[in-house]
Amino acid sequence: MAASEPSVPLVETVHLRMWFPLPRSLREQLRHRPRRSIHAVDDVSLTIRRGETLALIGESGSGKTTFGWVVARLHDPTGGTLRFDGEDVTRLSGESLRLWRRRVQIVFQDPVGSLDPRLKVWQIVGEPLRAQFGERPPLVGPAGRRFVRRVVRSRSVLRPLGELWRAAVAYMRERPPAPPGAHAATVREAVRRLLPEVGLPADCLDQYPHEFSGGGRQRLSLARALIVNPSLVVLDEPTSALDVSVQAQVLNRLVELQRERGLTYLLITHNVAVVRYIADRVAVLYLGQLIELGPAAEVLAHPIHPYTKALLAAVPVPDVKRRHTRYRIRGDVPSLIDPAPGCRFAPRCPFVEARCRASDPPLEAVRGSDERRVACWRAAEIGSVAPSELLEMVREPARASAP
Amino acid sequence: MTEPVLTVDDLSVDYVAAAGTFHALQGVSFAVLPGQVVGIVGETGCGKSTLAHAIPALLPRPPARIVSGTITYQGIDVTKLPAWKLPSIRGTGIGMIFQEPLNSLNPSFRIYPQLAEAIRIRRIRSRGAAAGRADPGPFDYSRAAPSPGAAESLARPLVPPALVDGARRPAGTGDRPLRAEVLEALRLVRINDPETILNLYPHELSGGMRQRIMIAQALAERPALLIADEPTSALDVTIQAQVLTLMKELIDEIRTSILFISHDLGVIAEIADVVGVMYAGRLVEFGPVADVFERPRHPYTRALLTAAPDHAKTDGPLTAIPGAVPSLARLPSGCAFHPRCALARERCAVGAAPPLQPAGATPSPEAVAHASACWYADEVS
Amino acid sequence: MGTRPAAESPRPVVPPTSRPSPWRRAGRGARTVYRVLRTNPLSLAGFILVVLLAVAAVVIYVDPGVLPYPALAIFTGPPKSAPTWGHPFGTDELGRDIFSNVLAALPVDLAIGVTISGAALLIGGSLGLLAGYYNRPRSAGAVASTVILRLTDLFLSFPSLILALAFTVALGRGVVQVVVAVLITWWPYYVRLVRGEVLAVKNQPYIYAARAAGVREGRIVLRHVLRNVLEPLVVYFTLDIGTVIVTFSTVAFVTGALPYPTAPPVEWGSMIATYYDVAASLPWTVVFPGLAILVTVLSFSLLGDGLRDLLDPRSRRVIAQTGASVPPPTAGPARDDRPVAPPATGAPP
Repeated sequence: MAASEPSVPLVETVHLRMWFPLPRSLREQLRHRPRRSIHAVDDVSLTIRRGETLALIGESGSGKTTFGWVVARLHDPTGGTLRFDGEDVTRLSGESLRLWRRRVQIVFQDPVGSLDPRLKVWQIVGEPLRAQFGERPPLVGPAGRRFVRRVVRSRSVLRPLGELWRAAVAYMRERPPAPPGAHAATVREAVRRLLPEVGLPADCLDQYPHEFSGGGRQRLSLARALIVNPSLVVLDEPTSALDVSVQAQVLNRLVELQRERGLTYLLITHNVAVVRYIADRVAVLYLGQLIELGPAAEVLAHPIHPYTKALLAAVPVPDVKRRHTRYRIRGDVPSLIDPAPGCRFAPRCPFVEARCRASDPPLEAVRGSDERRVACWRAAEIGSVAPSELLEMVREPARASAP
Repeated sequence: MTEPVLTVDDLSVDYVAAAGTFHALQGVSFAVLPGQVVGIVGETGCGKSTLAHAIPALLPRPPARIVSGTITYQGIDVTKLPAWKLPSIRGTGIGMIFQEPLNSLNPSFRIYPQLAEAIRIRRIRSRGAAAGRADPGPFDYSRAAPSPGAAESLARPLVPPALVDGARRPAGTGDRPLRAEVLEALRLVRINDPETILNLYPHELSGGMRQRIMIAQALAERPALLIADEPTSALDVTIQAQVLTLMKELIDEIRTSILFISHDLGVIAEIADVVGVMYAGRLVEFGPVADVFERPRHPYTRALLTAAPDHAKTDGPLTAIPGAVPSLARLPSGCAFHPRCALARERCAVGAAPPLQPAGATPSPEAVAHASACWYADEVS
Repeated sequence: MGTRPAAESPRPVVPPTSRPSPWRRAGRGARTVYRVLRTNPLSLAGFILVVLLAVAAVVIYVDPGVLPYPALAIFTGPPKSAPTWGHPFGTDELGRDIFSNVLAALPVDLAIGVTISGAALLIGGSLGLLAGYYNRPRSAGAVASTVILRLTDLFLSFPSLILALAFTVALGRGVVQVVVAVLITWWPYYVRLVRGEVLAVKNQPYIYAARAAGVREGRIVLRHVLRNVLEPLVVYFTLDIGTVIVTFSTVAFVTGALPYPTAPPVEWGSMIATYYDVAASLPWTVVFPGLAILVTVLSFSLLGDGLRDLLDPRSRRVIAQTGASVPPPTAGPARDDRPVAPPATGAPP
């Protein structure tokens, strides 16, 4: 792994944009309407530092998953730049992209769907190892050149199939030996060593994923991501499909693994409580835009952006005092298709003003903290409002006893 | 002493499947008093959804089998009720709200006919009750059974959705009072522009909006008991908070009894008066919400409360519950929680599961006792 | 499970885990097959019948001498004889033994069924895979898949039986001609089937997971897509062999493209076609070839239903553990409404 300047952030995105074009209806085509698109990620600029956990929080449609997928290059960004370890990887493609993938791995949200039901544990977990260190480069060496020459030379119309076959057989015999990662025994051994680290027994190599519980499958997913020793692991809602008790086990394991292996996490979640426990810094997304960024403890304790406040106030906590409260945010999440200018939270914001609807607030540093950024026109005025003020208290009669 | 709306007594339900018999519910007993919100909380596979579906007799049988127990709703044992009388229990008697509102609304009808259907059914039932002819609802069950063949016609919905006004004509050109009632139902759930909503299809609405329509539909039939099965779990947090706020306001307004089922302790804490905690098919703790959350008397409840990463606690590992929820087909002997329990001793592993016992004397006959199914309940807090 | 159950003890020094030996694995596989099939007696019956038919076909092909009388031999006994012990299926007006001819046709019909279905599977399957997987907008793959799909639609827009009849008439008489004619109408169904399955599989999260792991696209197709598509495909293929035999017999019956009874090969459809005129007076001449078709088709259908359970690792494991049958987790592939007119009883279509 290229050890570069520690000052260079591991990941840096500059105005990263991911738009998904919508198909135009016949009517729109006839009228020459421009193609509309879903602005899933709109101009997001942030950095992920080496060894930290950056949490992306937001609700469905905030673009957090899309952002994670773009960082892992599962989507090709529409615009902007993605730098990994100081190197521009926005337009990486082909074999170089494939080999770059060993440095960024991803744990998917769906513990059922992300494991191929027909493969065994060692095949699933060992797959990245096999793909990264077990693939023979295609048609190389003298054997490959001979094969290509024979294929090119066999110009006869009647005999090409036979000639092709013979050339292929010769190539198979003469080609360079497969790298060690291609051998089942090597892969099995590597998987067997790794499984205890994610909290699974080492003797389940020949089981199928459906024999595991939800937590077990998510551990398999994690093992698959770790087997190639990546620098960055994108955790896409790693615990949202798990029960509370199992969730705590998986989160603890994630933290320990980060400490042991010096991993960098990009944690994508809608669960504020998880962020509080695991993240160093947090980035809040709303409708594809970054609206607040800063150290997790500060942002969660003193959110500045009204949406962050609304999000924190909405999280249900097992506290009986909240029974007497009413949530003050109204309205629905607007559409992501070609959004109108202006702050995207303006339609639901309790602090909205005329200028909020007129133009986009820029992401600016917060006075008094060099780490925090927020995109709100009224940040200075409303920054000190506590999230609990978005809950209004209501005195209610005791219902339980009165019939 | 007030008469409970719903009494579940020693209910046990099995699922008989190829891989074995799953004991989804075992000896569950509790009561819902009028106007009370009872929350049921538990993890995946603890039987809470089975409970929700057993009460309005919605369980598919087979594979489900009611092994023992009774579900008494306003004096009637639902488990013994013949199929042709079930429609009179559901809807106007027991309303339901499901987790995924997109699947629960019919995608091929606009909103208006779906709401109008519920209101029409209520009207027909109440009119019948007044005239003393048709089925007056669940209150009168002593009538002789109708002639054979009537069973099927009664089991069908009273008004097919296609025949309701608005399905073919533009919304509301027919029955003006009906339309007014539909609009009223929508306003009740705080929908700002009900006139537009009426003509939309379910897929054109957001998740929060659909859940509101579901609530409106369930409430339009004026049920005596509303069963809400994870009604907010599919929603985003801010939308969930909005829907919860709406439900809290509605509880004050209409005073229906609610059985609220959720996996989220936070949601239950916000909305329920009385809470029951389920584990592996059993009710392990039951009591007033403040008591259960502040002074839990079962180790599982306590572990759940501490495992949820919340409040300002950021350092140190989370207190996880070791192990995993047992399969309902292979439950451990004794208390089902003992393999994961920090307080477990020999007594917990053998014999029958500890019964759900109230702690000490009940303060007053009106109040709900705080009961727990643990031999060492006093040591938990 | 604590947070780290196994990691607390020092890693045990054990030899690298090796896979069980191939023989052991084969034995275990056979036991699983038996356990799964045992739970569903009909599938077991289908499995046994198919094995019997295949063994019989091989024996007859290798040594035609096992037949009581040579195929097409005339005056092997009294003409127009009803079934007797010497001639279990009776004889025709020239004294040909129907039993021998029905048996002689077995390898031919099975080979035709497997060949046509197999070729359709290979051609249609690979085209379907191509059309389903490589269809990113504005790419060369998208153009190719559009061409494939429109071609498929073109073929599917004709009733397949009529199309097969037309091709048979155009190509002329002979087994190969009929096989080609039926095959031409047969592959488009596989394109549709495979493409549909591929479209469902290619957006599964595990495909993205493989891509994120850096697996080459070609390997993703073979290892993940094909493997997950294979189950419905094999089931459909098995069920299809029976349908192909029926269709082939129908085409042979209607067009009279096969030269029975003057020259080999003997084939059930053409037998029925030949004896159609005398069916009223010598009913056994058409009933027994018809029954042969029925039995063959039925065994393959029963086997196909059993395979559905067998190929799914989820149901396989459950069955192997409990010895009980489970409902198939996925509904089988929807059958197309193929116009099939089985000439099983010799009635004119």
